Amino acid sequence: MKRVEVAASEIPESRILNTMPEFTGTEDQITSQMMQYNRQWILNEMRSGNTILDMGLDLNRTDPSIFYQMEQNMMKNYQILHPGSLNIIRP
Amino acid sequence: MITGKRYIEIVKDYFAFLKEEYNYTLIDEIIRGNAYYDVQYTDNLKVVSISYENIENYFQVIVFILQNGKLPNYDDKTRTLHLNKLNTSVLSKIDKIEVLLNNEYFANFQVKDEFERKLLKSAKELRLCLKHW
Repeated sequence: MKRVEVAASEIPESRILNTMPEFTGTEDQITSQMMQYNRQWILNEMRSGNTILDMGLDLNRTDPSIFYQMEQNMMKNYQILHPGSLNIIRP
Repeated sequence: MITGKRYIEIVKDYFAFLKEEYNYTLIDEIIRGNAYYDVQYTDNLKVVSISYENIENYFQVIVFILQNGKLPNYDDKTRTLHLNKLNTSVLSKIDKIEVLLNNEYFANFQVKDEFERKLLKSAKELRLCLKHW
């Protein structure tokens, strides 16, 4: 997340998922709600037609983010359903 | 799972030496739901970020060396310094007595769980690293 924040700070008018609410419940329930919120967010971003900056994996992390992996799957599937509709930049 | 409020409290407590000894200023406290927390300090040359991704249990202490007052690129390894890398470069310069004295400085803190232990360990390491900056 820190990596995403730093990158976004260099790009005027860029948007990141910084609206995650405080969920309640067990740890599993909270994780599930966060995933759901993130899924809806990336779906909205894909539908908006805006450019998506895919920074790739953070090599400092031992385990890749489950949220990043989910977004990757979402984008992959979206492109299968809507070929050519996404504008993704991978630096 | 730790709350944002509690996280910020502990960080401000354990990392108080940044203000007290190194004249850092607290510049930001970020709480994004219960997903992400970040506490940032600066001495106008560097920014220290102490962040935590709650669900993924991903804790990071990063020292950013500012470039014209701005944060450097995250992937710039010469200016974005992760605590574990800093540790490696500093460890060879310190002796056992210094480590003991550093531990003594933090002796009054009582950790309640593994996560707090991890935070305290990072605070100790950062204090030593900044001493040998």
